[in-house]
Amino acid sequence: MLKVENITKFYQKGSTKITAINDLSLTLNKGEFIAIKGESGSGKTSLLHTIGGLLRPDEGTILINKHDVYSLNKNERAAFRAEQIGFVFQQFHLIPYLTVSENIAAPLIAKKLKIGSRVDELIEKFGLSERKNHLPKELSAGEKQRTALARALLFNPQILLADEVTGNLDPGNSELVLDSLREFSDNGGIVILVTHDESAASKADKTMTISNGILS
Amino acid sequence: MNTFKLVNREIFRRKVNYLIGFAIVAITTAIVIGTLSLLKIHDLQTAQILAQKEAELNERVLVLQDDYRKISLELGFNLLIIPEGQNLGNFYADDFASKYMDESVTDKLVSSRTLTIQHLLPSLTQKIVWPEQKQSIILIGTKGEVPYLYRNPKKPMLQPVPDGGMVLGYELHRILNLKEGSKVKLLGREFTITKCNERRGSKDDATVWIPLKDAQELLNKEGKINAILALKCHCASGTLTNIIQSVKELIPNVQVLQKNKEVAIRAKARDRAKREAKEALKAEELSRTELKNEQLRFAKVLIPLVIITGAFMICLTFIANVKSRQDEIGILRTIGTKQHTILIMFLMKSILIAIPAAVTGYLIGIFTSTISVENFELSELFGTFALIITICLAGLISTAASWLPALYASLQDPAKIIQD
Ligand SMILES: Nc1ncnc2c1ncn2[C@@H]1O[C@H](COP(=O)(O)OP(=O)(O)O)[C@@H](O)[C@H]1O
Ligand SMILES: [Mg+2]
Repeated sequence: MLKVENITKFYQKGSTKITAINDLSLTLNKGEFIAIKGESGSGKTSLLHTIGGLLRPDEGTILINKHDVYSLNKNERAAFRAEQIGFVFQQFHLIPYLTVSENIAAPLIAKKLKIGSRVDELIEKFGLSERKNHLPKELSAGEKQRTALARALLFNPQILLADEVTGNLDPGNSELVLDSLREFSDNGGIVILVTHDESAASKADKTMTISNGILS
Repeated sequence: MNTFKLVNREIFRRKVNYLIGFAIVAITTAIVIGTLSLLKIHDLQTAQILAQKEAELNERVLVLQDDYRKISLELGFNLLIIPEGQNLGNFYADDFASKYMDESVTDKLVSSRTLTIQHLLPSLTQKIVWPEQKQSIILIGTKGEVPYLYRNPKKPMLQPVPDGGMVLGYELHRILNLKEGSKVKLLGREFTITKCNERRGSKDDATVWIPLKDAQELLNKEGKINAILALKCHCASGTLTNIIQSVKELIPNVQVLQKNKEVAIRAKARDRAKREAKEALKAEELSRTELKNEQLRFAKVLIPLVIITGAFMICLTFIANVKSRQDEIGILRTIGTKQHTILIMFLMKSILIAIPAAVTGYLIGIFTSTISVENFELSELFGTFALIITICLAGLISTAASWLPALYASLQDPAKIIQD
C-alpha cells in the first residue's frame, strides 16, 4: 500500500519560491492503476520523484507498506528503489553502450538478486528477441521504451512510476506499453502514470488531475 | 551485469575516450621511465668507462713496473766496485776506471757465505776504435757470477753475454747495419751477435759487450778487470752501508760507489706516470659525476612536471567522461545504484587505463632510451620490480587524478538529471 500524506515540495528559483507540490495526499492499494493528468509544469514529475524516493519533500511523508521512505538514509533508499520501484520515462534513459539485454539486466549493478532467466523472459515478452544484442541507437522509439519497461520490471517491483511514457511513441507502441502497465497492476502492482495526454489515461482504474501541485 | 562488466562495456564501446586516457598515461610513463633509464644508462656507461680506463691504467703500470724491473736488472747496479786509487774525476768523465784490479777479487766476493748480493758482474771496460768497422766504441767485457747465498744448481747463471757472443748498443747496430745472428769480427776475433739492444739514449748505445775472457785477451789484460757491478743487493736502504762495509772487508783495496741514480729517475718517472694516470682517472670520474648531477637536476624538474601534466590531463579526460555520462549516472542512481558504486565505476576505469598504459609506457621508455645508445641490452635495464612499482604508481596517480571527477559524478542528484 502506498500512502502519500500532505506532501509539499518547494523549489527555489533565484529569489522566487516555486511550490511544485502543494499539500498533496493520495492513497493507493495493491493492484491499483491511476492516471494523473496535468499540464507541463503542473508538478507531475516532482510527484513521481518524491514517491520514488528520489526527491525528499519539504513537508509530509511517503509510506510504502507503512515504511516511511524518507526515514531511510541515501544508501538504504537506493536499495529500496532497486527492489521496490520501477521507473519508466518519456526519454527512455537507456545506457547507450549496453545492448538491449544488458540494459534490461542493468539493475543487477544496484542489487545482486537471483533472477534466473528473467531477462530472457522479458525479452520474449516485449518482443525484443531479434534486438537483444543491439545498442539503443539502433532501436526504434517503441523498442527503446519496451526495453526500458523490461528493465523497470526486472525485479518485479511493487510500484511502477511512469512519467509520460507514451509521449514519444506511435499509437501501436503506446497501446502495447499501456497494456503492459495494465497487466502489471492486474498482477497486484501499483501503477502511477502521469501524462498530459487524454487518451493515455484510458487504461487506468481512475484518472485525476494535477494543477499547480494540487491534485483533484 | 556487474560494475566491472559495465566498465568494460563502456571501454570497449567507447574506445576513443579510453584511448585518450591510455595515451596520456603511456606517454607520461614513457617520458618518466625514459628519463630514469637514461640516467641509469649514464651510470652504467660511467662504470664501463672507468673500468676500462682502470684496466688500461693497471696495464700501463704493469708495463712500467716490468720496464723498471728490466732496467734495474740491466742498469740498476746498486753498487759499483772500482780499484782503489782510481781518480773519481776521470772515472766520472770516462764512465769507466782507468786503473785495474785482479779478477780474483771477484772470487772472494763470490765465495763469501754472508754477502747478500745476487749477482756480480766483473767487467773490463775500455774505449777503443773498432778497427774492422772504423767506429769508436766502449768495449765492455763482462761475465756473471752468483755469490754463494744465491747459488741455485737448477738455475743457470745469469750470463750477460754468452760465450762467443756479442751484444750491441743501439747506435752501433743501427750505424753499422748489423743484425742479431750475424757474425762479425772485432780485433781479429769472430763473434756472433746475440742481441741488438733497443735505444737507451745513453753511452750504452755506443757500447759493445763481449765475454770477459775475450775482452781480457783482446785488450791484453789477462786476469784484469776495472769494475765489478753488484746487482740486486738485498737490502733496505739502511743496510746498504752494511753491504758496502762487508764488501770492503772482503776486498780491502777497492772503492765502492752507489750507482742507482738512473734507476731512481726511472722509478720517479714511473711513479709520476702512475700518479698522472690515476689523476686522469679521477678527473674522468669527476666529470662524469658532474654530468650526472646536471642530468639529475634536469630530471628533478622534468619528472614532476610531466607527472603533474599527465595527472591534470587524466583529470580533464575524466571530467569530460563524467559530463558526457550524466544521463547514465542519473538512471543508474534512479534504479538504485549506490553513490560509492558510481565512484568505483570511474576509479575502476582509471585503473583499467593505467595498468596496461603503464606497462606500454614502461616498455616504450626503456626501448626509446636505448635506441641511441650502443652496447646496451634491453634486459640490462628491464626490471620486474621496477615495472611493478611503475604500474602501482601509475595506477595510484591516475586514480588520484580521476578521484575528483568520479566523486563529482557520484554526488550528482539523480532527480535533477532525469527530469524530463
Ligand atoms: N530542479 C528544479 N529547480 C527549480 N524549479 C524546478 C525544478 N524542477 C522543477 N521545477 C519547477 O517545478 C514545477 C513543477 O515541475 P515538474 O514537476 O517538472 O512538472 P511537470 O513534470 O508536470 O512538467 C515547474 O514550475 C518547474 O519549473
Ligand atoms: Mg515532467
